[in-house]
Amino acid sequence: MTLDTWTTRLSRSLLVNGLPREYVCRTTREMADHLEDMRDSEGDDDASRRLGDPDTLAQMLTHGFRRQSLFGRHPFLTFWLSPIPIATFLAHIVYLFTIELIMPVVVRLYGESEVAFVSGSLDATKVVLVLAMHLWLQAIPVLLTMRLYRIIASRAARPWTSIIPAMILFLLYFSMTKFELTWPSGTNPGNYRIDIGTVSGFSSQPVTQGLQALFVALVCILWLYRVAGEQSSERESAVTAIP
Amino acid sequence: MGARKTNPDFTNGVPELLILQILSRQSLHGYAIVARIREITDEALQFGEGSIYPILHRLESDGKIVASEAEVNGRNRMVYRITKPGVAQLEASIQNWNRICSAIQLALSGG
Repeated sequence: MTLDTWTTRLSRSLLVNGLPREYVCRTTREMADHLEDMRDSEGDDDASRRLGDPDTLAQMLTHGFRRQSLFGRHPFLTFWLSPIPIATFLAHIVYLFTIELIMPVVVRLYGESEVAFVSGSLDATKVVLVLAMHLWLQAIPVLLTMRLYRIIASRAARPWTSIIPAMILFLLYFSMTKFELTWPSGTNPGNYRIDIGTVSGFSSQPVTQGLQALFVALVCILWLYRVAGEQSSERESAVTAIP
Repeated sequence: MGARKTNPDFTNGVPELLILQILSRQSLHGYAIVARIREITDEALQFGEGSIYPILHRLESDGKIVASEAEVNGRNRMVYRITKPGVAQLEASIQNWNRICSAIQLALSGG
């Protein structure tokens, strides 16, 4: 196998295994130097015979790299067990942040006190504001958590697809964000309520909860589609850029 | 000719021992380490030369050796150097190796 074919196969395997580009560049360069030395001092240019099969070597390098980090050593804990507590924590942080920062602004714009805004009668503008806030509360924690797990996957030298189980768990969790909207009718001024992480939503209001789950699923699918495209073009450019 | 297979005997702490021993004498790059191993073992150890790099990278991440770019024969190379923890590990590994050798020798000579 020629030097070029051998190094291309090695770098491609390392990138497919999820190793960071800097590490792949460094390793491939070391191998290329090794092969060049081999050719210069011994006149041997059979890379495969001397350095071994590139795919097997990529596996060894990947295994060694994964051993270096806690996330890499414990993929089940990282990608299956930890997402729910992390997602719950992030959801509550985003919820508090939204209420503390956005709500007073909304209240000021609307011209009501916070108590009046929350307990006062609903109208179309308020419904739109509340719905927008609800969608924000569903989408942002999902996006934040997926972004966090993508970084973790990269640090752990795991392919980005490792986050898919975690993503399914987020989907289940965030689709349980319960949103109740009571429209004004007669003497009832109407009301709304947002609860995060409740399990009773699906049985009490299957249609609206189903629609919410669909929204979260759509956010996840669009994000995955974008990441898959990015990864693919990044891998191709990395393979061609590596010596 | 097919790719060389890694000798299983070369994966149980022996490569680390040899690498640390070689680097304790002189800082070297990957190819020079492989050449030196071939030389000092009289080519008795057969292994895919690429397998030296995962071991070097592991020793580096464990802090036993450090890598830095240096010019060797007019080219920039990644040169490895042993650290203090590396020297300590080398001493412990040599003691361990001698103990194992003595035990095996004792067993072979009939106890």
